[in-house]
Amino acid sequence: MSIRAKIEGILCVLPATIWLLVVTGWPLFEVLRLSLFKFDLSIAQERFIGFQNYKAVLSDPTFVHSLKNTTLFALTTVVLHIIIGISLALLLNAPIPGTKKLRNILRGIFVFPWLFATVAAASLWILVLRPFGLADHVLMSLGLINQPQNFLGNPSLAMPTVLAMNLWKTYPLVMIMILSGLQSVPHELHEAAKIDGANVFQGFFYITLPLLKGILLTVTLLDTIWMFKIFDLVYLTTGGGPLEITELLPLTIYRQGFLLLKFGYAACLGMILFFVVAAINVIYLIVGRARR
Amino acid sequence: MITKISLRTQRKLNTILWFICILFCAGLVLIPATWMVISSMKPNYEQFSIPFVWFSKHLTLEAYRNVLADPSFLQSCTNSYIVSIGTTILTVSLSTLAAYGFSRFRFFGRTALLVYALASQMFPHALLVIPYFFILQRLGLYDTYLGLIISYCAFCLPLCMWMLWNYFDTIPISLDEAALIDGCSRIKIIFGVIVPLATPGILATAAFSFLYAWNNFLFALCLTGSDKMRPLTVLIAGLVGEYTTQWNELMAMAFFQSVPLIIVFVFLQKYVVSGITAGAVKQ
Repeated sequence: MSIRAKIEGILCVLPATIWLLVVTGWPLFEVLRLSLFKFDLSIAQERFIGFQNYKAVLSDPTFVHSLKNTTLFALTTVVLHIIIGISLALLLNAPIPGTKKLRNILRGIFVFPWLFATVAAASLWILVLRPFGLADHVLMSLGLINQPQNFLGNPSLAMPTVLAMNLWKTYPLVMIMILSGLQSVPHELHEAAKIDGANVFQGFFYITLPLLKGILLTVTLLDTIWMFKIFDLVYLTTGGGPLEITELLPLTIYRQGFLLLKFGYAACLGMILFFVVAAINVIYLIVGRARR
Repeated sequence: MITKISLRTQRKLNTILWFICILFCAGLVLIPATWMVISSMKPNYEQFSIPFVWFSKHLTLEAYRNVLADPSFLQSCTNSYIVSIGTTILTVSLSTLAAYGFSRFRFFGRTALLVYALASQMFPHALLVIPYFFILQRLGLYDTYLGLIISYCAFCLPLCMWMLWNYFDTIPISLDEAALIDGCSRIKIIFGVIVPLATPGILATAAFSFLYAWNNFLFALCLTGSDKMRPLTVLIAGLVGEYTTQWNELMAMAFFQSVPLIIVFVFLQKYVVSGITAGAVKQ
C-alpha cells in the first residue's frame, strides 16, 4: 500500500479511535486507580491503600456468595439459552413447504423480547408475577399449583423466577446466531443422509450438530460474558433478595458504590468482575484452539 | 417397527406438529406482551380482581390520557429521544468512517484496534459506571445530555465499528478502485459511492445504537440526578418500587417505552439480523 493510502486509512480511523480510546480507556484507567484507594464518599476520605481493597474483597463472604451466585446463574442461563436457541432455530429453519413468509414473521416475533427495555420487562413481570396475577392464574388453571405463590419474595422460588424472566428477555440473540449457523448447513448433506436411511434424530446429531460447533462456541463465549453483566432485571424485580438469594455481582457493585458510597471498594469489585470475565474469555479461546 | 405411513401423511403430520410447537412458543413470547397492553387498558381496581379477569368489560384509555398529560413523563420522553438520537448520530458517523478505514486500508495498529474494539464489549457496565460518575462530574457533564451521549458511546461505538467493518468488507473494493481511476477524491468515494451501497448496514447500525441508548438503564440511573434530565427508563424504574402503583399507567408507560423500537425494527428486521450474524460469524 502506498504511503498516501496508509495515511488516508489512518485519517479515516482516527476520529473514532481517539474517541473510543478516550471514552473507554480513560474510565478504565480511573477505575483501576480508584480500586487502589480507600474512597468513602460518605466520610470524605481518600487514601491510597494499594491492594488492601482486593484482599478485603476476596475475603468478604458477601462477595464470595455473590460470585458463586453469578457464576451459577450465568452458566445455567447459557446452557438453557443454547437449548432454547437450538430448538427455536430448528423450528424457524424447518423446511415446511409454503411457510417461508410465516417463518419470517415468526422470526420477528421470537426476537421481540430482546427489543423490550429491561425496565418495561421488569415492571411487566412484576405485574404478571404478583400473587393473584397472570402467572398464578395460568398455573392454577393448569393445575400445576393450588394456591397463589409469591414468586419474587419466596426464597425457594426467587432464583428460578429470576432465571425464567431473564431467559425470556435474553434468548433472542442466541437464537439468531444459531439460526444463522443452521442456515449455512447445506441441504444436500441431510438429503444424502436420508437416502442412506438416517432418521431425523440421527441427521441432527451426526450432521447438524458437528457443523454448528463453531458457532456454538462463539455463542457460548459471548453469552457467558453477557450473562455476567446482568443488572437491570434483577435490580428492579428482587433487588438481590430475598435474603441475598438472587444477588449478582453487578448488583453488589452498584450497591457498594452508589448506595453505600464506598467507591474504592466498588471499583475493586468491578475490576475483579472484569478479571473473571477476561478469564472466561481466555478459557474459551484455549478450548476453541484446542478443538482445531 | 412403526408401520410405514405414506409420505404425504407424514408431511401433513410434520406440518401439524410444527404448527403446534410454533403456536406454543409464540404464545409464551407474546402473552406477556399482550398482557401489558390489556392491563394498560384495565381500570386499576380490576388489576388483581378475584375472580380473574382476562378482558375487562370496562376498557378505558384513561391510563394513556393520564400518562400523556403528565409533564414529567413528557420531559423524560423528550430526554430519551434527544439522548438516543444524539448517540445514534454520533456513533453512526464515527463508526462509518472508521469501518471504511478498517475495511479498505492496512496500517500499523489496525489489528490491535480491532481487537480492542472487540475486547471493550467485555467490560461490564457496572465497572465503567463508577469512573464515569466521577469523570462526568469533573467535566461538568454530570446530569446533562452530552454526558449521557458520551457514556453511551463507550459501548455503542466499538460494537457499531465492528458490525460496519464486517459489512463494508462485503462491498467489493473494485468499486473504490474504479472511482479512483475516474479521479474521485477519497471523500467523494466514501460518501458518494460506498455509503449509498452500505445503507442497509448503516441503518442496522443506527437501529442498534438507538436501541442501546433508548433502553439503557444503569448508566441513565447513575449519571443523571435531576427529574429534569432523567430518561424514560429511570422514570419508569422509579415508579416500580412504590406500594400504591398505578399499574395501568405503569403499563401505559412501558408501552410507550417499547413502541418506538418495535416500529423501527419491524422495518429494519432483515438488516439488523444480518448485522448480528455477520458479527458472530466473523469471529
